[in-house]
This record gives sequence, C-alpha cells and structure tokens, in this order.
Amino acid sequence: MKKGFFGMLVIVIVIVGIMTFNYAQTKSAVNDANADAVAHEIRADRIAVLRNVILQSHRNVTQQNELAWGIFVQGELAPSYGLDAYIDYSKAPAKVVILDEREGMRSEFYLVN
Amino acid sequence: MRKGQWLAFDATLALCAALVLSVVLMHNAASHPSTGGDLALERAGYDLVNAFYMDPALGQRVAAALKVRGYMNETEMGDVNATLGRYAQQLGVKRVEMQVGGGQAVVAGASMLPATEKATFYATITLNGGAENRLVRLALWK
Repeated sequence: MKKGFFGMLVIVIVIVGIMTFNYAQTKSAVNDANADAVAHEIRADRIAVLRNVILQSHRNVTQQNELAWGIFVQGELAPSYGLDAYIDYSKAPAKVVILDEREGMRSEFYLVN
Repeated sequence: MRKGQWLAFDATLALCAALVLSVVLMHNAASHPSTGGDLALERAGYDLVNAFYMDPALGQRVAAALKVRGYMNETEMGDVNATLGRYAQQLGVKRVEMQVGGGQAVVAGASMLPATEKATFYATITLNGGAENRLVRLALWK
C-alpha cells in the first residue's frame, strides 16, 4: 500500500511537471505571436504617420519646388522612419508609394492639395 | 524515524521540487523579451505629429522663427516648451523632445522621472515653398 502510494506520487509529480512544461511552452508561443502582432501594428502605424507627414507638409509646397521637396521626402524623411517612399510625378496628381520591405506592406496615395 | 515518516518526508521534498520547477518555468515564460515597441506611445506619437502641423503654436511657430532668423530665440523656445509640456500631459507621456534639423532641442515634461520606453517620430518644416526642408525629430518617453 505504501509502495503503491509512493509510485502514484511519482507519477503525479511527473504528470504535473509535463503539464507545467507544456503550459510554459504554450505561453511562450502566445507571447511570441503577440510580439509579432504588436511589431506589425507599429510598422503599419509608422506608414500612417509618414503618410500624414507627407500630406501635411505638401500643403506648403509650391509647384516649382515640388522636385526639391520630393527629393527630401524620398532621401531623408522616409528613411528616417525605416521606410521607402517613391513619388511618381508622371501622373497628375502625383502618386506617392510608401513601401515597407521588411514587413511587405505598402501604401499608395495621391498628393492633392 | 519510521518508514511512514520517511515516505511523508520524501513526498514533501518531491512536492517542493515540483513547485520549484513550476516557478522556474513560469518565470521563464513571463520574462519573455518585450516587443520592442509600445502601442500607446505609437498612438501618442501619431497625435503629436498631427498636432505639430495643426497647432499654430508648434510647427507654424517654429517655421516662422526659422524663416525670420534661422533659429529659435529664448522666448520662442519657452513657448514651444510650454506647448510641448501641455501635449505631454494630455498624451500621458513623461517627456517630449523636439529637435530641429539636428540643432536646437526643446525638452518638455518631467525629465527627472525615469523613463522606460521611447519612440521617435519625424516631421518636416517646409520653408520657402519647399525649396528648403528641415527634418524635425519628435521623441516621446513613457
């Protein structure tokens, strides 16, 4: 009877250990998934902020300075956010494409004053 | 000690070992590396960048100073500091810093408090119709 009790105790402890380990693994996987989701959301937010900055600053740009402003946006502003921006002046109104190569996200909009 | 007492002692030890194992595993799961970003700071950053353009006491004030003399004087820096401090309070962040073109920086908020998370955003000041453009760094601490 005593031996049987001891054997049961060992089995219970082993089972509790396995369950705890599995729980910890699951929790870790959930944390990983949450971290990924938050990171994606932050990158998407950055695209939205950059889009807002481009549209707001474009309001003060005159037609003859479009190119200088465009070079600044593509060469300085967008890289500051870790993003790529391309302005297509062949269309009217000009079309802006913001690219996030890392996350594979993209935003397109037109420069309408 | 009798055999029964030994068994009870063994069982207690085994339970303690199981508890220690559980605590160690749970701690490892809980101390998972952070996400490297904070969504509340992101929202605050979006609002601050928007305010920079919409509030005449921020972007337009700085742009006017840069247009007139190329830098902000003490009065203008004080005004911008007060405005930034108000936004820091409204957005629930500890500290806000604004730096124009890698030069003059205005720090507002409770800079003495230890700040944990930081997020950096960028805006632009467009001068002379876009002929001159300055990058403005806006940093927020939580």
